[in-house]
Amino acid sequence: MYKYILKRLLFLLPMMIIVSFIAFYLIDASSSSPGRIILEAQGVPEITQTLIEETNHKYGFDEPFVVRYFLWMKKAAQLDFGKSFVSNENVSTLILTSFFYTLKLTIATAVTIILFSVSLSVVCVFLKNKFVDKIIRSGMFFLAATPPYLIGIILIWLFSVKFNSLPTSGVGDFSHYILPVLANTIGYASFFFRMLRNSMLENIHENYVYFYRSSGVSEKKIIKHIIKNSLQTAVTAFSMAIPALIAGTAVIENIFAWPGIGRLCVAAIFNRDIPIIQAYVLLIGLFYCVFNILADIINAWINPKLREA
Amino acid sequence: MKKSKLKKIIFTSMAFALIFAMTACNNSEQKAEEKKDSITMAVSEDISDLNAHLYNGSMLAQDMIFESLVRNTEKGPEPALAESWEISEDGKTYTFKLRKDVKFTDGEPFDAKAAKANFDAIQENKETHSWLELSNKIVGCDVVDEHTIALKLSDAYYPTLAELGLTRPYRMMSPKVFENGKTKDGVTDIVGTGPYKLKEHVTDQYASFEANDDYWNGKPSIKNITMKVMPSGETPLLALKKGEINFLFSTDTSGMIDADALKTLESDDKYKVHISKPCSTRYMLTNSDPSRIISDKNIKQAVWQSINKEELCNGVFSNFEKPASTIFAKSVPYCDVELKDRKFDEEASKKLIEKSGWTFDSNSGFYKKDGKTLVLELVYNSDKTMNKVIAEFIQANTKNVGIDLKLVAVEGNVMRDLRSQGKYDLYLDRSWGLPYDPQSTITALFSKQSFLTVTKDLNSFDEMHKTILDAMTTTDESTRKDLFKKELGFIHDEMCFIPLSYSSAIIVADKELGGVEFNQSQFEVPFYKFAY
Repeated sequence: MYKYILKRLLFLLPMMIIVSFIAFYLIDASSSSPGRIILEAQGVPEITQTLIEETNHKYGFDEPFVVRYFLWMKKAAQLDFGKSFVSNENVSTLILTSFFYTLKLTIATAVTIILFSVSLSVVCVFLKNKFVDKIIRSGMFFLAATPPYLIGIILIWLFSVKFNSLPTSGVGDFSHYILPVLANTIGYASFFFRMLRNSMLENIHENYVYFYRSSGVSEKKIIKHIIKNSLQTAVTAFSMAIPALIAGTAVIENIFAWPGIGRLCVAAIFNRDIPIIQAYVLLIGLFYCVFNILADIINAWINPKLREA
Repeated sequence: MKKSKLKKIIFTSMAFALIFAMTACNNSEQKAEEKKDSITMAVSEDISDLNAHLYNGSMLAQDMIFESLVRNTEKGPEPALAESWEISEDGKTYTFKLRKDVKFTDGEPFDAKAAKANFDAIQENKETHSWLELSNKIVGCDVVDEHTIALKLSDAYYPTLAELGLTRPYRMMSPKVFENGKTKDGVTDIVGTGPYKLKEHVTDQYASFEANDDYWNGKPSIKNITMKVMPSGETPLLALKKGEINFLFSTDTSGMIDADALKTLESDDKYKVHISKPCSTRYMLTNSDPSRIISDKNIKQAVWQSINKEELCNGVFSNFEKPASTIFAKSVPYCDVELKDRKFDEEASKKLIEKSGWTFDSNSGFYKKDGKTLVLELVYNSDKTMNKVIAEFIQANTKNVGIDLKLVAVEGNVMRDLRSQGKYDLYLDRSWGLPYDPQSTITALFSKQSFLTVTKDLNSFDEMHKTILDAMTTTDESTRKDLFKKELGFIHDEMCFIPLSYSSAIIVADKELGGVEFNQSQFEVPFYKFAY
């Protein structure tokens, strides 16, 4: 098992080198000179050739690509991603602060997604094709098709303006979490709900269920086993959903004015604030890799056959 | 599992969720309404780095904190940190008498030494400010006595005072915050002489300002101003309805508030919608490249007369913007000039196109010449959704007269690249607005980085260029007026711009908030004049 983990971890290294190269290449991939991009990000009204040359020199863009790449990698390894072109603030601080906010939102969302999807799928499986099952399924289908943007606005309108009970946006106490978490959960839960429901329905007809039943094992225990077995298939999907949640909350963060990493990155893309985009790509890349490996490890732990593969 | 048991579980969990939600809904008090000396507003972006000598920060916030020697008003530049000034006969030396009662909010005195330090720091970075002709003209700043400075220019330059009054870069920061006597690489703190000071700034969340009680122009009666960052277009409106914010400001109807939202707010008793005089113009630039169909004057005019601006302003802007017949509204300085209006007239458009040798092809519904369809490309910025609506409106209008308009949606920076490379027929944009209009928008017609592709191949290019240069340097006011009149005539005849609408700055505030007015610059709000 340890050998397997070590093998998987070693795989992380080349992956991260590829990701870092792509992230770094961003600024050179553009048709404009880096100096122009920086000056545009800084809002300079008229960009002259002299200014572009001065800026390129100031930020070291007159050095060859390889030299810059290794310098950047060296600094990135020490978590130094330079300063934002726009606000002149430290990129690491900006990324870490916003990442922390997104993480809080993601953890809360992950918990509610599990609670929602597991409980609803259990209800649906045991009331299969009954009225409640149909209602829940069509409700989930409808919500999955509704854009998160619309869900967010409806939630704010309903709970903040009409009922005047929750804040519209921003961060603060517990009440500020409810609407963004709810909007996020609605967007993602339907996917896991459908997956779990299908997997449970398959499990219900497995031989072990018939065996348990004929051996007189209590229904409660049988259900427990079915849930446990069905969850296994969801592990990979769920592990990959966490980085997806972190990377994909930009829309929700925008509506709820949540100072998270998605919003930071979207703003950086619009402003062409390259150091932030580079750090973001690297971080999210790392997250995808780590969670992928984590999912592999968990699956290998559950199913020893996989370790040999 | 028994059905009844399951039902019980479902209902209990639903009840639990409901209680949970209700208890969590702590009564988020409406702070904005409690204190009647505070303004809480939404802004779409963080205020960023407010260094007054650079361009990253929010102009709205910079104007609250920093002041210049003069202030731009409708009547022209008026005294601010300078009590009075004298201009030498050759127009090359401006001697400013500074106020004696002014201190920066960190306690440093504002005197001739501080003013000189600021001018030196700004000019140290003059290449960055080269878009302002003044930065190229200033050769030095001398301290005459403790409260007098002399600003030396290389040539006479009429917009000197107006450019000094702009939000940036010629505003005064406390020399204590400079880094090694410079400001171009950052400052250690945000300290000015203005009516407000920065109290707290949490990046991407909010910025709060408090009144400067030692302000030389009297204590502001609005004591606290908070800017909450709300990037999404709908959230500010909902926050206003809930009472979390009590103020909205937008430089036009495609920014913080759209026309539909304004209409609902206008009918709401709680708020008042304030609209400024027209301060900028939406227009389309026309490419002068002779290889392009649009360089034909008949085609330019055909496009111009094919657009129903009344309907555009009514349908798209709910009449919050007004139809434009010339590039600048008459209220813009030097622009009260009579110019021939080219009214909406589809038949006239068609005749103009036919005059240029195009024949109507009833199969396709478009004009054709030598087998080629009359196709034009309209480039617009896709960052703002309103532009798409406007572009589609124009497309529908030109189709009625047989012009096939192709829409090219790109991001802001790509758009500027296309403009400088001349890869467009029509280019949807907005003028810089007051106080940059008319001079900066006109001079941009001759700058490679800006609109040179609009004028470069015009027969009257040299004369047009000379006229505006003369207008900028003459020291005689009536000559300048004549020169501007001549220049506006050229621009109108050549149809460099096809004007669409005049837009205004908008404020939505509590009904009780008094003294609401606008600054000469559409990017500033004079909060210190407001009171409950």
